[in-house]
Amino acid sequence: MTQRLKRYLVVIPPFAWLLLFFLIPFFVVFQVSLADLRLQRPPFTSIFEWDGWWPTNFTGDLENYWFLLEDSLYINSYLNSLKTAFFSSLVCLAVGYPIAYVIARASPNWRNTLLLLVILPFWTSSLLRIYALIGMYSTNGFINTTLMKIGIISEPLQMMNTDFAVYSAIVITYLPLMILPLYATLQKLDEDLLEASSDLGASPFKSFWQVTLPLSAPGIIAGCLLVFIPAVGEYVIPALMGGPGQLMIGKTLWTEYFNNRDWPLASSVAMIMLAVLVIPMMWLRNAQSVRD
Amino acid sequence: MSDPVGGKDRDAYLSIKQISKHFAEVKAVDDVSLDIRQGEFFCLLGGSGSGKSTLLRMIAGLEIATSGHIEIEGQDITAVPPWSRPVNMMFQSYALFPHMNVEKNIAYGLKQDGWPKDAMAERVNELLELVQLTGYGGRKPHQLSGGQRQRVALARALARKPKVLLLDEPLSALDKKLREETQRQLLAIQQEIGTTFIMVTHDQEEAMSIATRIGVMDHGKLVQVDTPREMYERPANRFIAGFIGQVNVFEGKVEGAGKAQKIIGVDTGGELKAAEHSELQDGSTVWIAVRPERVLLKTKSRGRAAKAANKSSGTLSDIMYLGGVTHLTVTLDGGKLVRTMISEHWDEDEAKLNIGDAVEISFEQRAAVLLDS
Amino acid sequence: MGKRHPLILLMAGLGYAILYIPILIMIIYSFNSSRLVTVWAGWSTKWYGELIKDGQIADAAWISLVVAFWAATIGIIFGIMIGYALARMKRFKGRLLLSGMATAPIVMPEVVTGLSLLLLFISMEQLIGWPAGRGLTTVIIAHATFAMAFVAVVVQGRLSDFDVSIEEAAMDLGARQPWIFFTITLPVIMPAVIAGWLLAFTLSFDDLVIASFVSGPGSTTLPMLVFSKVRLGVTPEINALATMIVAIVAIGVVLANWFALRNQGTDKNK
Repeated sequence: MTQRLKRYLVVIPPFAWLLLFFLIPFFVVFQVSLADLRLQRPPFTSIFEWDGWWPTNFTGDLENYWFLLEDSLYINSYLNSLKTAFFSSLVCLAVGYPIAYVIARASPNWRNTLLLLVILPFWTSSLLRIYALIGMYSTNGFINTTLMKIGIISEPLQMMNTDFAVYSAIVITYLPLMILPLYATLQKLDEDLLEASSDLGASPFKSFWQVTLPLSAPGIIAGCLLVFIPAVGEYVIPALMGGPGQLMIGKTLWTEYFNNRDWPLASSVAMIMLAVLVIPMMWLRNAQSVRD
Repeated sequence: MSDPVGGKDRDAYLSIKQISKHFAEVKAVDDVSLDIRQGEFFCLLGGSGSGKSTLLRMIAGLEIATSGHIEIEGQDITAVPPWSRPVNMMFQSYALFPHMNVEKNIAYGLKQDGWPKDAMAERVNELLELVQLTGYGGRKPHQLSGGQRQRVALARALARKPKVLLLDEPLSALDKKLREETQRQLLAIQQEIGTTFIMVTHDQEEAMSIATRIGVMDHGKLVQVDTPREMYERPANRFIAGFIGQVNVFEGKVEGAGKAQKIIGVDTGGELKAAEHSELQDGSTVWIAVRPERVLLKTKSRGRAAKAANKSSGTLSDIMYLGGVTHLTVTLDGGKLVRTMISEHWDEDEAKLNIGDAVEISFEQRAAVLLDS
Repeated sequence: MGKRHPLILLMAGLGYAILYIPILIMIIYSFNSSRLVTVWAGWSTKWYGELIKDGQIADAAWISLVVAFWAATIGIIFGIMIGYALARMKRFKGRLLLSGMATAPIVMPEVVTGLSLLLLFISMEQLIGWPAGRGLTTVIIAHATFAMAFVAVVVQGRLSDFDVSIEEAAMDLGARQPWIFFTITLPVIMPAVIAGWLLAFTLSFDDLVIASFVSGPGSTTLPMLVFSKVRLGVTPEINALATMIVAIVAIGVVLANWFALRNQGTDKNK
């Protein structure tokens, strides 16, 4: 019995912490999303009153959610975020797969170095990497000045505040998250299988298509979800590189909260975002537990 | 069998009483009773999943028995936690602490017992000498060879002078040559210090060459406990006969009763006679086990045959020359395969034996063991 | 597609190029003596000098370091506890919930995490008066929460590869918990723990979004300051600042990697 008690001493502190600072906040967000805006501190109404330990006088409503449905700004933000995240994931996969493949097939010494070169950007602030990209893309940035100096173009290209800027920034920011799970599955892939396949008469392309690709499916799924989920909620990239017309839901939430100070609306935006992401999150969890 | 296998022993040092371990629906160890004497080198032998390791871990206290008791020197230790039991274990993976050097590994148990520094250092040196690793005290486990790690693990497990030392497949990670050498060392150390050893192994040759007694486990049950010689000469059933060494088994039918009782071979057609047995039930099926080296071979020109019964004719179907001995397979006229062997001196001119030769095989009555299951 | 098909090598090379070229250009231009970012006017380290003199940046950097240190330290302690519980205790009430709560912060969009923690802090302040306002404490709590999730994953992974019989051997030799944990388990997983601490530290040091939600007037972190400057455009000072941060992180990563490799070395004892 005391043995059991001691074991719970290990579990309870972090459990309590995560309960208080991770799980309960979502209920608070939900509660605020049902409240109304008011011009006081805090800038939202209380949806019930406390009668001792029991809440009474429930006044919450779904007004904010109806508002989200009525104004096309929000629906467009969600759809545009999903679209951007989806296509960025695909581009990430196309760029990341060869890298992961080369790392997995490299000699052990090279493998560590190549892997380190992928991990290094992952640890470096994404803000700084996006900043570096702005230095490349801006009107008087590196690409435009170089191209003009060589004489390929006479007028600077408009790269900032375009779809291209947003997509390429997402791809570059999240590329390491794509490569790492891909590498993990490719590395486990038995090279004998490929040799067996070519021994049985398959062309290298066919072996890749019929053996390597299907066997790396868990890594592909995990990698795509690891890019897709945070990309949907991305704020910094659309804020710094997207044009004013480029709606993404992370930016919309930020604007509602910081600029319009409409906390209840921001909360309902967050709740809908969570609802949209719950399925990919569960899928990711399954994909990862299968891989283990 | 009315007498439980491995039953009562008046000199019992370690006594296992009707112990069982169930994992969910699986009976890993099923109602095992076993007495082990002081100073014995006991081997628990069995295939994977036979329950031998689980039984060993229950003695160590690392698994809690579902039912039953374990006693050492008459004291019940069933409820004693592993850190307080007077037994120590040598793990299959050696389980050396990778961040500690050899000395600290060996001293870990002594430190828990609060040994003073000087005595501890002395004991560590003594143990290093025992396992012939003097001078290696400062090395980390990953700087040692497989055989050296194995000896460190042994020294560490012996440090607290356990009443019983448990060894879980201690030699399985070593290659064949080193394993045989290490077997001898292990036996020499055991004889020097006189501690009771219980070793788990799946290698029957290892058990045969090292153990004072062997307990064979199968599907959680202890099937037979005997000395290696008895186990080989008088296996309790077909499973043991086949598990320990090679064997030919002839199925037979019992006919008649009393003095006129006969066992007729199903494959051979002739009468089969075993060394000894009590009266059998008319019409029941029995088996006669004969070791290949006891099967006699007779060709037209050489060899000899047994005097009476246990005779059969066939053709030589396989010859495998192994240097000192030659293994032969004979296909009896009924189709049954019988293995036998001849040593070199039997015939210097091997070429005279050819596949397809008509031969007669036979075995003496005293070489045959009757099995009823 | 053979082992080293030139086309694949070329594609992989391009992938590495797009990861590194922007950063390399930024580093080179941080040594440009001209204030105009487009014109190369020779090598100079004067922007680094300006940077050191800038008190605002020094303050923000100090705040970020303090936050990252405490967030990583709290994160490592709780993360070890979570990782240990999930790897070693097969059945206890709330195991599924704990493993869910420990992995979800990793993939949760930062705007959602930031907003939800902020609303929690405000509600708590109303209910119990703590935390009074927002500042260092609230940022540390927020960062520690996702830090422990990352550490828990690292530690759990390390413990699953761990040969359990090493802990059993300690028990067999007379040791008990928590002594076994501190003399055997923790020293063996120490490289993973240090790597986890460095990861948590870096993630906290890099975070912009969550900190923007939960920080108060006196607790502007370095990324927040950088962000407000970046919005105004590319300047040589920020090039220099970014270069310094990238250099520090790179050193940290190489160190962590070195620890992890050393860890594999001692692990061959099997």
